Amino acid sequence: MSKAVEDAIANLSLDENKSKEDVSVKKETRMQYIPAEVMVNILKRLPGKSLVRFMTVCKSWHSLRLNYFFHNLHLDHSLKNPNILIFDRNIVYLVSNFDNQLVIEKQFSAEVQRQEASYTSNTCRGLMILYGPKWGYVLNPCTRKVEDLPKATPVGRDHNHPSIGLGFSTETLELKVVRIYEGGKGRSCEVCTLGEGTWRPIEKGVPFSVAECLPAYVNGGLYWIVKEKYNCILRFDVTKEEFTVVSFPPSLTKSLGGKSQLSLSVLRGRICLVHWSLSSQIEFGDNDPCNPVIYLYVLDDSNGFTWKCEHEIWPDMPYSESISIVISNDKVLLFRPNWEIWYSYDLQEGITCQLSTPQDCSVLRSIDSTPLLVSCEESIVPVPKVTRRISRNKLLKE
Amino acid sequence: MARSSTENMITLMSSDGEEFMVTEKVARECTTIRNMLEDDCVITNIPLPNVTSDILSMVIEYCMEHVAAAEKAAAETAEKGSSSAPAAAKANKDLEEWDKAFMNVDVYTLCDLILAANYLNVSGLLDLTIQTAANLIKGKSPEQIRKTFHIQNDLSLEEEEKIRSQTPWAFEKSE
Repeated sequence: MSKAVEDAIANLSLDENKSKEDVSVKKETRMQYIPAEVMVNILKRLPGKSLVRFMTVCKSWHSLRLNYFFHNLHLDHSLKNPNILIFDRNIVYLVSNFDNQLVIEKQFSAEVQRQEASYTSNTCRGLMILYGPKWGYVLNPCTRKVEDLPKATPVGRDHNHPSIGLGFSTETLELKVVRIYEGGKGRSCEVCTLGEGTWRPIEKGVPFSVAECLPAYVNGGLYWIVKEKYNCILRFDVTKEEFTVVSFPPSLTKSLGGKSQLSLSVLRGRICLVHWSLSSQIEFGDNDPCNPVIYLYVLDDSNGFTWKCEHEIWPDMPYSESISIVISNDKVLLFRPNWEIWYSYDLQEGITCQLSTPQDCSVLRSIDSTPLLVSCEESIVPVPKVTRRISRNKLLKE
Repeated sequence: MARSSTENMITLMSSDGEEFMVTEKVARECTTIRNMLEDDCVITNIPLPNVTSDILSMVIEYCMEHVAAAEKAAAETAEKGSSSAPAAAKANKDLEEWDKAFMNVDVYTLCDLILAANYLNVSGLLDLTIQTAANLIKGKSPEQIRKTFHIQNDLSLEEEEKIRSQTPWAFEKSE
């Protein structure tokens, strides 16, 4: 178990004589007999904000911030129940509840963020990349720590907005930022290991262009949906730094075309391909053909790659061309653009619920552009420092 | 509860000498006891010197409720050939409600339950009590935490102030 917490427990004065004192005193001091592993078990369930605050309890609790072992325990727990965050220009909101009504809380604003985010990466170990055309930074929304990414190689107007993914090598324990972009010379890909400060090109390149939706990370693999007609997703092995192709589930390939939209998500620690479409495209089901349907295909990566359609959702709502679908803790949050209507769907109970949006959300109604919605697990994983040659030069000049 | 006479009964004895007769199935919910039974299947009387009678009776109550719920679910599955998802979800929800009501205890009882669940290795109860404890302390201040767990603050005033000043937002009362 975590040495830091064992130390914390060891620091407690376990005076044998205390047990001989009268019962009422004994009762109140009982808390100190909680074994170290139980204490760790309690701490790993705490929200990040509480953990950050408890860093001032004592030295050993403070040392938890750098304890890799504890980070993993905390992550294992928080991955089951990720937060849904809304990035709206320079303000970050937390969706704190979406059972029957949508409750959002303002988390933090501009002073934490470097710039107004145009795009986000997927999340990995509680961290994410926010970026624009010429800049990017790593953020831990839970501890609110930020670090700039080094400047990427291709600058200027000869490339479209890149797609950035964040992955973790389970072998080297490094976090890597993977950037796929279309340049004048075609598709390219480069990788930046967090803490190293430079971008390295991936020599073998990228086999396909990737779609604009967010990538997703699971078990040492970073996944992108391939653009248009190829019916497959790309998997980037974060350790080996190689791409492989994973075909779509056959049943999905058959039903594609017409009105539909695909996105990637993570469901209970596995990659989930979300297919949103109009049911009239599909042969089976006795539901109203005008109703939209969502299929959740889950990827089993333990033995080859096999898909299974685990959920078939018939949300009681009209079809909309574009929709955002986020999964958190066995619940799916759906919303249509312009913040008009929000729905939640419970995967356990199979019930769709239109959410009421109380006054707190009035701020969201004023948003004209589509903000970024991401599901992010809480973690106190530190944001690796990026060694920046440029900034050092800048410092020298000053 | 109607039980066939062939089912083994086990006597559990608390630290203050009280005896509790439970079915082997209920006793097996405690991994510690299950291991004892598997090592030596003729044991019928188990002394538990670390658990008082009031806490032991609660642990048994928990185990009985969960064994009954599992048996009911198994019976329904056998009857219909397969379990229906909504019925299973409802049963789960009912059990969750029961757990929630069961956790309506004061902090000292909770602490004793954690220690007993840890000692007897009742994974479900340990999980439930620890989650309850986490919910209880998550909004507390560092001072309250030190007091609750009797932790000595070994940070100097300057160190504490420095850490605090890096994350002032974490000390703001939310909502």
